[in-house]
Amino acid sequence: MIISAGGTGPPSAGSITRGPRLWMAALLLVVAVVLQVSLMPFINIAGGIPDVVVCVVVATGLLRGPLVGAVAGAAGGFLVELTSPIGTLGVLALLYLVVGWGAGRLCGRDEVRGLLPPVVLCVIAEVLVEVGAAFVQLMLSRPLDIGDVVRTLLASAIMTGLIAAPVVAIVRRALGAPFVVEPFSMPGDQ
Amino acid sequence: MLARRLIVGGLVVLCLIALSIYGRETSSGPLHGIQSGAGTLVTPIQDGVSRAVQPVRSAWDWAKSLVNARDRAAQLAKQNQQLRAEIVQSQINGELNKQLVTVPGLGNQWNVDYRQVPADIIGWSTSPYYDEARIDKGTSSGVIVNSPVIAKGSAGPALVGVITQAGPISSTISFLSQPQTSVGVAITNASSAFGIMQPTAPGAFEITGIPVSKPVADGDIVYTAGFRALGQLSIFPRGIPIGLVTGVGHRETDVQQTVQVDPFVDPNSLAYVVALAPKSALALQRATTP
Repeated sequence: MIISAGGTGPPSAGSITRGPRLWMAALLLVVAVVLQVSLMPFINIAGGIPDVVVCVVVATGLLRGPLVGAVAGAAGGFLVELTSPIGTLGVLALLYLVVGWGAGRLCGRDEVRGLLPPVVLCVIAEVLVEVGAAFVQLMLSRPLDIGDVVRTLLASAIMTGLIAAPVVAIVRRALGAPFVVEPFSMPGDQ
Repeated sequence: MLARRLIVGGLVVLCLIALSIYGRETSSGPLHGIQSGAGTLVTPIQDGVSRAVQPVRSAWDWAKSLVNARDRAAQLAKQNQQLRAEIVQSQINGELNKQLVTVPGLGNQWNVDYRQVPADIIGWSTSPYYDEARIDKGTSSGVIVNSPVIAKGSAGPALVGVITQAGPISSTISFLSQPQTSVGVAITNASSAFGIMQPTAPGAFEITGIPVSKPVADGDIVYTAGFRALGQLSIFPRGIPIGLVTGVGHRETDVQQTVQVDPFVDPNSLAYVVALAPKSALALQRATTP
């Protein structure tokens, strides 16, 4: 499969010289997964855990479009589910995929150029992931306490919001300017 | 645009297929095997991080314990009073239990039939909805799938879960609070009444199947029965304490009562556990119980 830069608008000179840097996106994702399954569970406050993977997926989607966002989300979700003691496979991958796809739809827009909008998006994405995970638990007939679910959701969202700014900044620095990556297209194709 | 949608659609289908197959297969299925292998790969990293953050965790736990100290003291005083009363009763029950041990097949000798393998918890589930953790001991230490796991609780060692995936150097514990977990249990002071214990809400369990005629009361001790149903061995040997009865109820028309249980161990507070590696033929038979 050929994946190269195409997209909605003319990429900046810097981004053309640097290319889509998908290898860097993959590396950031792997580092995020390792942190998520090893360090983050120990930062457990009120049942909530900061989600560094969701931050990387959202930031990657915002910088490289819906395709890369969705692929990064699915890959990140599968990696977390494979390496962390979680009793399912495919749930987080699906949720992160949706988050990555959604963030990718906003790639290159002026509204998400500052640091605050991506941070807010990370928090919204984390809420979506938590609600989705809780919904799957209900589907699996697991008894849930609504108070616990809300507490966990709020704690996770707040902690994810706290780590989102530096994570987004790192991903931006590593990937460069935003442009949409499309399959089967060459750089500059419109 | 079409190619992008095809790729993303394919990924969605892949996720759904993985979700379906994983949910249907047993713990020895291929996807569980891949998960176990991947878990083994990150075990050294998790082990290192676990050791690195241990001082910070200890400091945090200490700070939290200071805040909770007053409440805890009052709670312990009340519990102490309750336990004093139970000592008297347990001496009487001890005589009865000695007789039960001699019943063939029950296997009360869990500290003889199993080798105790201390293990550090090196990885926690990244989602609060999965009551699982990874430990740094695996098949090379004798820990196998369905090995019971105990931990130090408020009243000595108590059951916390079971090994659901075992790799060479690490294993995954599924705690009792995991959905679909059911344990055959007996209750002291109720003529060792047998019932099935299942999780109902986070940190709470319920026992069903105990006839109304059996006198169950608050404060009775719940322990593993050693069997699941008539003639069916349980993966858990007989006699491992689980928790205390905190509530009993039934309607007038019911023939069975519902019993609420407060477990001795809160899995979220654990840093290490003891896995029970099967040693005797009976213990191995329990571990291979379907």
